[in-house]
Amino acid sequence: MTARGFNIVLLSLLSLWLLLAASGCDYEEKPVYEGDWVIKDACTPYMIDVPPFHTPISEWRVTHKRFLEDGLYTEKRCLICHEPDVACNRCHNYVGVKPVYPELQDPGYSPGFIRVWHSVAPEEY
Amino acid sequence: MQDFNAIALAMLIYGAALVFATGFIWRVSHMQEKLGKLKIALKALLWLGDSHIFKKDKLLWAVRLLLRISVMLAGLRYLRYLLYPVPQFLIASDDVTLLALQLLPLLLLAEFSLRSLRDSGIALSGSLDMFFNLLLTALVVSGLCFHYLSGAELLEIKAYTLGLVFLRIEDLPAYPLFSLHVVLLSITLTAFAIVKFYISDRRKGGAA
Repeated sequence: MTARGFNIVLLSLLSLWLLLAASGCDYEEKPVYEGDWVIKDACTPYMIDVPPFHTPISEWRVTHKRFLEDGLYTEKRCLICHEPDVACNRCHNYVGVKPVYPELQDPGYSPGFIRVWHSVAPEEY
Repeated sequence: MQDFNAIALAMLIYGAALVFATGFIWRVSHMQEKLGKLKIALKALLWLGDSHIFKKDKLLWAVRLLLRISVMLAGLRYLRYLLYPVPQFLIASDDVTLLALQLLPLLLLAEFSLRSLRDSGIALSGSLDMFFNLLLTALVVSGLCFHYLSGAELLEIKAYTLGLVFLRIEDLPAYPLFSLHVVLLSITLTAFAIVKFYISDRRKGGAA
């Protein structure tokens, strides 16, 4: 490749990037925590209060993975209250973390609906 | 108006990325001039394998090979901060890339120890190579400290980095270790490009 070829490649790449950036295509705002149809500081859109172990919620968002990894909590138990596409996957998809998929065959799984409170969840959860 | 620190850090990253990309294209273009496409691929494989070290010190060769693979996998892991939507293969390779990242400090330590303690008679690029090892170590340690000690929200990090790709400077996440990590990354990219792409090319007479 000549010096002229090098300049052409470099300028093409830069132009392509600038075009992409300027067009703003695929630019995704980060999920926010207020307003309608956004993630709230609540278990699901139907729940008003945040359970005590979820507070402060900003800390819970950071530490929940560790709770799951340490076995203090299970994904199944989370999904008693949480609908994954509302409570988990918006952030997971945004940052590129494994999305949460409920096992639809699990007994009692009702997406987006508070079936029971954590305290009365069946033992196997 | 955006925070001055957010803009300053963004300028630093843009500068480093530009120097690195320009250096990479420069180097490849001059290699292509001399070697042709097939030989570039062969040279890249040889570089990955350090064939001249293989003949003299197999353990050092293996450690260096693992180190380079780990660096590449770790780099792959961070693509998720620059892309949206995040490609599935990046999400699927999460465990492997995390393992590579965790192995990096050990591999750096192993390489440093082997080169310091063993007399293999291998002529490496000496102090410059050591300088890069130190930079890389600082980069990895700052990254791991940030990951395990900061309790950072990934959403804020992603918003800032994705904003950089789209030329929108978002609020700088309020984690000093993040800023330190990014500054070290920018220094590493710039120094690597200048030394490995420009200077070594001139030494070999490629760009002169």
